[in-house]
Amino acid sequence: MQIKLTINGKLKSLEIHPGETLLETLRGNGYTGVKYGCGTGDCGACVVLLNGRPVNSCQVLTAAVDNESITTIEGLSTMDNPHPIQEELVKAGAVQCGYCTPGIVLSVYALLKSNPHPTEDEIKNALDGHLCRCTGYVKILEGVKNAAERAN
Amino acid sequence: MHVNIKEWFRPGSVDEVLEIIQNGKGIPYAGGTGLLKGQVTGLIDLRRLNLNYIRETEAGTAIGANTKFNDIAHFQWSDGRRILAQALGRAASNPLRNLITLGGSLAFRPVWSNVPTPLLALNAIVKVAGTQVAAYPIADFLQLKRGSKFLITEVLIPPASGHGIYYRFARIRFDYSALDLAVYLETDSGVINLARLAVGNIVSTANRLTQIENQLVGLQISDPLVNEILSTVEIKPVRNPNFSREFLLNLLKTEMERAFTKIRERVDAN
Repeated sequence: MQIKLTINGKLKSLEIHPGETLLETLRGNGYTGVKYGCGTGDCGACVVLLNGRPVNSCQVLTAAVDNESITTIEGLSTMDNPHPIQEELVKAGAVQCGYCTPGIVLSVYALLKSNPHPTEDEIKNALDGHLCRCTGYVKILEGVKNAAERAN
Repeated sequence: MHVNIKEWFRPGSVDEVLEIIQNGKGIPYAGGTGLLKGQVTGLIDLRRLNLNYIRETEAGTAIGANTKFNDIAHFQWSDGRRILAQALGRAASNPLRNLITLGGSLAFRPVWSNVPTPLLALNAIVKVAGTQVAAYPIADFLQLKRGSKFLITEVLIPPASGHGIYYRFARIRFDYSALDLAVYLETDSGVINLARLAVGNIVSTANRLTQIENQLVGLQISDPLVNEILSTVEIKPVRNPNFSREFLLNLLKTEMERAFTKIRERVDAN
């Protein structure tokens, strides 16, 4: 079936299977910053922004978001020009294997956009859908707090 | 990939949705998080029905069935209805709360959603469209068979001028809860006029502790008899691989007492 998606600000016309997940569609179209983790909505590696809000792309059928807007990590930054949130996570030592990082960055981006001065509890709440098995969460929280400070 | 899914329907009215459901061609796709592989071949996109809203009405706050958990959790509730926001704001995870809908959760009733318990304490009304349009008190709705051929369109939360407490117990935040509890009380000069105590997860279908509620009405909230009554709660917890029945029942009693203490403090502060 044919659908239209705005991905990172660009309107795309895509041919998909009716049962395809958004994760599969995005990765199949070159947006490999979207990671496959658990496939059950538990780990957050596949988080993208759907109309500006974080969602687990493994839990979304692409046909259900026809004509909607998606932001992936590729829409926030490039290798040469990382987003300040990414820079602060690196500085805080909050990245090791990096597999969970794109999803975390997008969730933090959505949080800071709606709430530029989040409390620690609000940060934890925003990141409660992300698992990181390398760095632990203290460094991630530190990086997010620094990113918020820097943005302000 | 859900390889079995062959077709999407994009109806523009509830009647069209019902026709597709009645003909067995597809099931409504709400948040999508409860969709099992191999379950169906057709899905119904509900977006064109515009059931994503929270509106104040004379009868209470009307929530469209397609409203996401996070929208309800972040809504500025002004009274005892806050317990609904507390419950939904703790369910699943932030990215999932941006997908899961109130109607989908009620239709599917997964163990992790924690929707029925606060709705029972708030005496919510569930509006459905099927062979005819109907409005069910939540307690009656929960007795309906899952997968019935109707569409949930709206949930009405009546005004709740009293005080509410919501409690959820799980090993870790993201885990399924082993127990959830919602207590809603209305008092006048410290006397309990109305009590609604609802429990979920510890029992197979969330329900109200009506026997306990009836004994509490007319008592001063500070009366020591209140705790005595709460300690007499008799339910048989469902089997849980992580916690003994004895533990869960004791936890329920303890958290009920704590909820009453918190409400008493709020009543005293007013």
